[in-house]
Amino acid sequence: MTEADHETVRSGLETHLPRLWRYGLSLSRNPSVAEELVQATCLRALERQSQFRTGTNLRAWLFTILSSIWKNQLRAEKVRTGGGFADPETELVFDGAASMETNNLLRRVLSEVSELPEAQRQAVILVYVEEFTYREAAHILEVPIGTIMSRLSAARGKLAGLDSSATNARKTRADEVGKN
Amino acid sequence: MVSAGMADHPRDEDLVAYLDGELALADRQALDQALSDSADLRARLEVLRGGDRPFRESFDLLLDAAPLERMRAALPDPTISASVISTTQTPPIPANDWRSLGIAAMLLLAIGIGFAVGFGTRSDMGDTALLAELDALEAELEEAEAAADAAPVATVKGWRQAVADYQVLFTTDSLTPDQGGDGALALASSQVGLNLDPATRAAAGLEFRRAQVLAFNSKPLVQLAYLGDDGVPVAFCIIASNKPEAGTQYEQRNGLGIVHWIIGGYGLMVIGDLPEERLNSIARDLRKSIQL
Repeated sequence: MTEADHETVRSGLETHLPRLWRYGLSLSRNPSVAEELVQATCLRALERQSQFRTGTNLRAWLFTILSSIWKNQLRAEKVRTGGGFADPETELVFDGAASMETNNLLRRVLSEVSELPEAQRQAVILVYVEEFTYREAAHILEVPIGTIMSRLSAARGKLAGLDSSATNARKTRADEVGKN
Repeated sequence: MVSAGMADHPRDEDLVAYLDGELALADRQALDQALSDSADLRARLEVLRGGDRPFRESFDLLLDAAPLERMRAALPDPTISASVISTTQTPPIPANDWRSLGIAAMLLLAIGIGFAVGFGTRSDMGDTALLAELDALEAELEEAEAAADAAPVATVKGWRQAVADYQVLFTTDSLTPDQGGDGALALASSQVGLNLDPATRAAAGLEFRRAQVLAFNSKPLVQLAYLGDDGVPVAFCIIASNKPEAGTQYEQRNGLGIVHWIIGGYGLMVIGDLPEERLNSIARDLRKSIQL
């Protein structure tokens, strides 16, 4: 761990704070929990900065940490206590964005994404918002690339207004054809 | 990345990967061919294309809502971070830099209390009270920092006071759930050159929660945190000391009880909001557990 590495992590953290918070918000749908996630991510990143290699993707590394903290620690706790979650119908569009004079379309997109199941929402945020590659997103979420593909495809299908059961039926048919 | 037989029977996943530019060249070319051969497939592609949105533009709206200043303020500064979470060489910390301890405590408290307040979510009185406490601490810290900046020559403070200033910020929730693991105990042991493992289970009624390496006057200061009787936070702290050996003594700082002693080149202390007798008994147990 060199001084340069240390400074890379430290200054990188600062640069990525808003994006980390946004990702935390998309996972928890609660601004306070998002902030909590970011703080925990900062602590852990600094704890483990010796594991970060200069020249690799710091943003992906930080997202991996946040993702893991959510999955392994906070999520269960928040679900159990109900403390961290807004009501299911609560939209991602909260005070900050809602109070802005924003394009209705953009606000509707936030709302649509917030209604996706969490696994699909994560994939959408990582690939379409954060613009990570499939491979990077798979690494961050610790799932196979195929899982990212099917989550994105399910999300797209839903946003396109496809009935998921119809999508599944089509898949099944395709699989059956594939076997023959 | 793409399933076998994709060109013959492309799935939605393949079509989406195609739209996202994630297919390898050979797969893309195969799919191009399949698309040109099948009107159904082209129609399916268009349906999935309809699931596209200006995702990035939409979510960029949220960036402005991020509580950036607060998060930045909570970010340990380089010297502080190294003192709080020392996994490598600890850079020198200025003498009596109590701020590092205070801010570290703020972070831990913020993470530990698991609050869920704001933006119209449900919060019971407990959360509200904790948050109010946090706000008050923040305000206090800011005030104290301002005072410190105005009068840089502060009185030199001993390590016990520094620990007391830190410990007073702990609540039961700061140490719930268990935050240990990750080799923190091994790291703490190596930093002070003592096997601390027995100390995690030496005192009856104390539940070990976490080991941390802090720093005081550039020296590693190890804190083992426990939850004691009725969830009272208790800490066992160790620092290298060149002072003459001294038997256990009791004192109070910041309303917390402290039993401290010096032995074999180490200063040790037990601190917590417990009666003197109880702290003495804990100190006896812990003292026996450390080979000095």
